[in-house]
Amino acid sequence: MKTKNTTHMRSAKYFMALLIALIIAGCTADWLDVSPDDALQEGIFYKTEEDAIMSVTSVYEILHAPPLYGRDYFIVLDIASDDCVGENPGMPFDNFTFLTTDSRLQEIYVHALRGIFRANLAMEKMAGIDMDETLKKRLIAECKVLRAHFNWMIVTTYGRGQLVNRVLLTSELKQPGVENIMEFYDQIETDLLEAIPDLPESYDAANVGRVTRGTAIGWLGKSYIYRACWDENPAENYWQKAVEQFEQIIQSGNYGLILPLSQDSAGYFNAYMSVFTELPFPDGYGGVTTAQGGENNEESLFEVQFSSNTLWNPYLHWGATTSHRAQVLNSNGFASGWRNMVPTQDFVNEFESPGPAGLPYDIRKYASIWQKGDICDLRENRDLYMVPFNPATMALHTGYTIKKTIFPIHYDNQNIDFPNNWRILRYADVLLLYAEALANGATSSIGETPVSLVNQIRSRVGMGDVSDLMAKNGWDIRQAIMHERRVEMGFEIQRFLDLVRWTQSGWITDITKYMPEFTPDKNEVFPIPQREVSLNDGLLKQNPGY
Amino acid sequence: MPTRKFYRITGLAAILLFSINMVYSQDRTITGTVKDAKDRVPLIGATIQVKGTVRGTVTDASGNYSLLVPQDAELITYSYVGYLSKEVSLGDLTVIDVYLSEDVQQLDEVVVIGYGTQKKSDLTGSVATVSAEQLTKESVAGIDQALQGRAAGVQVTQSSGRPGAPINVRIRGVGTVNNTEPLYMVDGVPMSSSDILSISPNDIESMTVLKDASATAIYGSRAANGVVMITTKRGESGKVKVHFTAYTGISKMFKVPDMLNTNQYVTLADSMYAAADLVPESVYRDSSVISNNTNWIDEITQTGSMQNYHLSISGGSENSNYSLSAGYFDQKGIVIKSHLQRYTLRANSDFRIGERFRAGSSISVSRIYQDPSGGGSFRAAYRTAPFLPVYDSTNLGGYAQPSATTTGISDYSNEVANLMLRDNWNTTTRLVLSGYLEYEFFRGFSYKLNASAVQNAGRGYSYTQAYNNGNASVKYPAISDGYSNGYKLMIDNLLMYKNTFDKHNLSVLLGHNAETNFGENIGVSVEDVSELFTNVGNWAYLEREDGTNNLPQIDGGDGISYRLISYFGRIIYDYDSRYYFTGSLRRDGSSRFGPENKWGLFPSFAGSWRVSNESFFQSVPLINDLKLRFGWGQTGNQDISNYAYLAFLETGDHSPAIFGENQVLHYGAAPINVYPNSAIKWETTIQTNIGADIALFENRVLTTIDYFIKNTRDMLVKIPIPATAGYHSNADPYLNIGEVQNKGFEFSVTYRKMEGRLNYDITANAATIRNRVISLGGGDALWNSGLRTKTEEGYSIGSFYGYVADGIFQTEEEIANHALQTSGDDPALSTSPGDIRFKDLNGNGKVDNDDSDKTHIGKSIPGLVYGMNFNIYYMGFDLSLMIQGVYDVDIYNNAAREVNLASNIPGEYVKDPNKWVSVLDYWRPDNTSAEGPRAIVTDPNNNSRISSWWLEDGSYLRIKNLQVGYTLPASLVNRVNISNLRIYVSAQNLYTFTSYSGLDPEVGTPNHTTNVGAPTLNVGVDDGIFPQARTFSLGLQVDF
Repeated sequence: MKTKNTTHMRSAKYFMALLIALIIAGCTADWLDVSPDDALQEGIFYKTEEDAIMSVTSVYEILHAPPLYGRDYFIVLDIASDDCVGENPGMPFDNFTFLTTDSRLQEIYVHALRGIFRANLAMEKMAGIDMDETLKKRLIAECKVLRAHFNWMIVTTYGRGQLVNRVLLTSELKQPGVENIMEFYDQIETDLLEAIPDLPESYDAANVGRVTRGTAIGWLGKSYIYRACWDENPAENYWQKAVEQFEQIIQSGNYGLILPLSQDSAGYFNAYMSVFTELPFPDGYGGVTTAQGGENNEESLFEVQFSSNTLWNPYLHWGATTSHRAQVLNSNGFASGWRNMVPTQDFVNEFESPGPAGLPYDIRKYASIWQKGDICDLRENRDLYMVPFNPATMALHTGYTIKKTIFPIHYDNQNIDFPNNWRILRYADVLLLYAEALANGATSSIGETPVSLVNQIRSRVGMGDVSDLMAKNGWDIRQAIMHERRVEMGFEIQRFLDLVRWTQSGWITDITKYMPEFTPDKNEVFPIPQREVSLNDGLLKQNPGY
Repeated sequence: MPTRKFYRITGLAAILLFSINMVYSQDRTITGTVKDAKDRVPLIGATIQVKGTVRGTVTDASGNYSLLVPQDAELITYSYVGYLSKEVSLGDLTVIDVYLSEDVQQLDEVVVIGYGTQKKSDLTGSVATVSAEQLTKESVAGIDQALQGRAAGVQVTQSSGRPGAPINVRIRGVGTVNNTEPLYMVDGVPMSSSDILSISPNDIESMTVLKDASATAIYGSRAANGVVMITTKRGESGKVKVHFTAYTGISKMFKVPDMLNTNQYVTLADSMYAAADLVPESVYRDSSVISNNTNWIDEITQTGSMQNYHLSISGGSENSNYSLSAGYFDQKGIVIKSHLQRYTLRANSDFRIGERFRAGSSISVSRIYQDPSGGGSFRAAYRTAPFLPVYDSTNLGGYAQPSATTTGISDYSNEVANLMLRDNWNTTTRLVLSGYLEYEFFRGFSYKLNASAVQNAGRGYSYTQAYNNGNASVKYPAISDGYSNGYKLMIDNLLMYKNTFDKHNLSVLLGHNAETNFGENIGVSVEDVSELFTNVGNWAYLEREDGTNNLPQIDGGDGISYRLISYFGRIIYDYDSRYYFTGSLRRDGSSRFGPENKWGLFPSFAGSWRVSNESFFQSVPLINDLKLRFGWGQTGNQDISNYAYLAFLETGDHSPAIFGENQVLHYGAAPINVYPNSAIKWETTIQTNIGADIALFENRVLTTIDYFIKNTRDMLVKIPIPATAGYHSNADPYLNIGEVQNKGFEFSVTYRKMEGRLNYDITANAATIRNRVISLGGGDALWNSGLRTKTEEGYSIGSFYGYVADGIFQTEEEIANHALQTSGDDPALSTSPGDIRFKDLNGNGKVDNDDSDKTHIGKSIPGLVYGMNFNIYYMGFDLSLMIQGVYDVDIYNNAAREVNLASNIPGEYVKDPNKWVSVLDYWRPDNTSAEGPRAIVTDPNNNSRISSWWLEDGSYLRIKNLQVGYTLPASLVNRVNISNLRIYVSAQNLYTFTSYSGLDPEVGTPNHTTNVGAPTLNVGVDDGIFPQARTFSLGLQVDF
């Protein structure tokens, strides 16, 4: 009996000891490695072709962001220029009193670097993905073109910012600004030149909107123009290199201006309006006309694709793929806009008078601004918009508001979910930059002259030979190009950069005649955001004067 | 925990042994009965002893005794384990009936500590206990609510009077801007604060609050906010006991806001608009519109009700015991539709198997149904114009709506319609299974295995009819529905050794713990559902195939999991009950911690010296017991996000772009959540505690005093990173870098007295807190969502921030001599007499619009939290009074900006909201001593800005509970086989003493805030609170 009991007890003890050992051994350290069940992790993503495509899609997303083409980028640059003033006189970007802590300047910089980070990440991760090699090359090329564009935004807006070519480790996040801004141009050119061979000239219907070979070549030409203006010790003739790119665009046959269907005021107006909208719009004579090209038309080398999809994105604030343009620019009188910026009288005065076919003005004035007496007639929303434009209530201090790119108003989408694509590189721009390069001594291999190029732009809207205009005003070709760029490219985020660039290239001797509050040797670029200067422990120096 | 029965039996045995030698002559006999002073039940085995002799006896099964006493005997001592002893002068008495009072805070009481129990007198840490009896005195839904005012240093705040609203429990201040909730251990199973509502207070045996680090450190990385140990009732061997308890009550608002009626509203609107050279809406003069008068507070409120029923059956034999209980609780709030129901079922059992095995289980099931309506109803009712009728049969939905023709504006909505036309509810079903197996290798050395599983299933359903209701109109009837599921599996392996060697008492614990948690949820919604699905609440709508309406769509879902592994050990040692030492060490690994900090070590030690057991102390009069305690320990708060160390890619709507001629949305994927911090870890709290326990006057006065310093380091704070990281600035990483300090005194005292048949006791507790943010590690100051509190270095967490109001301008001269508040001198457009004067703190001659003239104007963490509990028993009657309060605290009365200011708030809120009648005391040239600034609709001086004008003293003293009960004489109830029957009436929130002008000074966290840190940063902002109610109830307790 006693023996049996002891055996029982002993086996019970062994059993318990074994149980303890088993249970504790079952919980090893890697048991603590758990994965989220509802989200993707870097470690399990970037495996398939689809993953590669999605990672590149996220680079495009940054273009939509409210700090960039969604909103702030045009507010900052167009208000700073002499084309627009802010909603209230004396706003910081009007009179160059912005602080280094300005939140818009902060967010533009952050978002440009976000785009670059995503491009870097997508490219690095794609290297390890087993997928169709042609597609992979194309996607990497898309990333490079977008990275080049974000870098171009940084160098033209902030000067000596940070150049980031790869995904940084946490310990490497503090980065110096570039010593010489030409480092940016070197990188932009390298990226674009590497990308061009791998990009298609066009896409199938499902992929329209991606960067094409034309996008890359056009941006490369534009980048050479900027470099030609800014580079004090040019290693090469960048004017000529720009011309080579623009001629490729022209010779490709893929692009052209949207031309009038009839040589009358309606034809001119409709052709120019069609560059910027996809919707039917009133032709100004009681009828409605269909946009000739629509979005991604033949005049467009690249557009930021917006749609009226109103996805909420917590990281981009409002609509993720919609533009805030209409809300920001529309007049409060006939759409619920904020009228954050309005055209200057000086801009309005730039338009020639008379215009074509008996009109009192260049029709581009009607397409660009609202002014007193204009009937805001949109057929489909007649009740709302059949009212005269009243500057007293609709425009406040200048008497005008912006119309171009936000007209016709999408009645259902008049606010932050404005769906119109934002054309950021178009053929007219290419022609004018080409003309500028020729005017700076480059030579054309296809027999174009600055005058012939400017005239292409003018004849589309029924304006006469620019030589007559030059003779009438006593202008040289430089003044003619500068004038034409201003009236053709108004509110397209060009003017401020043009003025600064022309000062660098010597076309303008006193920029303060255009922007009286501008301080030379300081305001050519905006300040590096103070947050970044602080967070980089002195590695990133503030721009001179700030 | 050894049962009282056990003591009774051993006590009886000891006395019987004594009695054998008792044979005396010349004695006389005294007889009598010993009964419980409170419920009058006979005490069996109570000891009766002639003082100074060994002569004595014990009471029999009826509580009767008979004792031979010597002629010279003077004093008789009556004692009983668990009761206060009593001395009676013998005199000439021959019959002595004695009532003994239960010793509720006896030093020999055994308290539950982490992974074990300990005698209260042996404790080295700071521990507060609350008994079941105290907890069940109050007519409240949850045990956390009943904890209010019961223990020093434990601040309980109800965020709202809505049934089922979250309860905020803070132990020893606010240790972090992140999660401040303590860890709840229910019968050894960890639970979150949101799970506590699933437990019926009637099932609780005891609650122990572990406050200092030497007591909590055994729970390591989860213990920084303190630990609440909850033990449920288990069976006792003996006969089967049946206990039934029930109460029912009604609730009413204790303070009803007095709203403007239509006349007053329209008249005030005229004045407000006239002052701004404006004209109010024309309908304000339309007699057909303003003939109506609705009191919206009356319309949204009702008399609330409360019911609670609980039945338990328990019993046991030598080798097993059991306890079964079932409960039902139902509460309808004071806002229409607000409702909470709870069903609970519990089975606890213990078995002894042979000589060495013990085993047991606890099974509980609960189901909670909640209609969470009413959170924002008061604020909505404040706004609505009094001339809007409630009903309009011609309007879609049947309720009147604000509109251009009915009210002139459609800014606000008809809250009654919002409440009645939406069917909103959620349910939680919870199952907890736990069991243990204990094996004793040899006497004093044993192994224990605990295993438990918790399963939670939840559903949130909402159906909204189509209705017209101003801005709250709903175009299409819609259902949104969500389902969640979660489980937890946990295992403990404990090796325990306990022995006594001479005067050395040693207890050693070695343990291992592993836990895995999983949670998932999914949400679906459908718009434009057909009438067929009205209010059914089932899943039928998912089956629709009609194709004409919108199909149900998935709104989203989550799936998370986290795991923990821990190893821990503890030594408890004392020498001769004089010198005590406790040391513990826990090593915690958590899946939440980054790879660089996967494991944390949490040490603690404590010592105490029981001075009163020293020989030199024996002569000190009055002091019966004196113990000095010192403790130190390090604990952690691991309530951080689950995967902060991982680079997350988010897809779906987070990074889309558009491609294609048809502009198709394409989802992208990019890391955009929060910049990963591979070093992320727990928040560390280091706490030092000095305390003393003193018993005076024959243990009638028990005092505990503690002083603590609690430093939180490694507090998670968002730190900005350079843009080169490529993340959005909202995605700045959390770094363990902030520091917060809490320090304070805690004091509690209990006094008990018995005078004949009158017994009473009084317990008071108070705790001070000084809270200060030492460092945010370079991170930005933290603001609450409405910018009313600013948390920054050198100030307390969530301290109020704004302009300093300095009275009301009486004359133009005063304005001219003061810093510039607005330019211009048109009273319709600028500062004018009757406006609030704000201090120009930076002295630049201008009251600036930026933060330069703002400062810290008040604090949301009370400097003093106190409670008092008073019980009195007499002849079967009992009365208990519970008082609770806070002192030295402010409330930002944000609702008053709307209801107590004769202006609309510029750029905020709705147009022309209704107001309280008190607003009519506004400044006018003929009323210059008015309470409020002038009436002007546009508020050009911005009187409504965030300033000290809206800050009020938040101190209050509340008669939380008053209960009067009567226990029927046993002789009466025994005839119907009832062993005990008590009836009572009670009042909850009977009266509140406060100078606060809002509805309720107990302002917790506004219910609409969800962002990180918000619960801590928003405390004390009154956005129009759902106040607590005054509840009167009638109850019954029966034992069979």
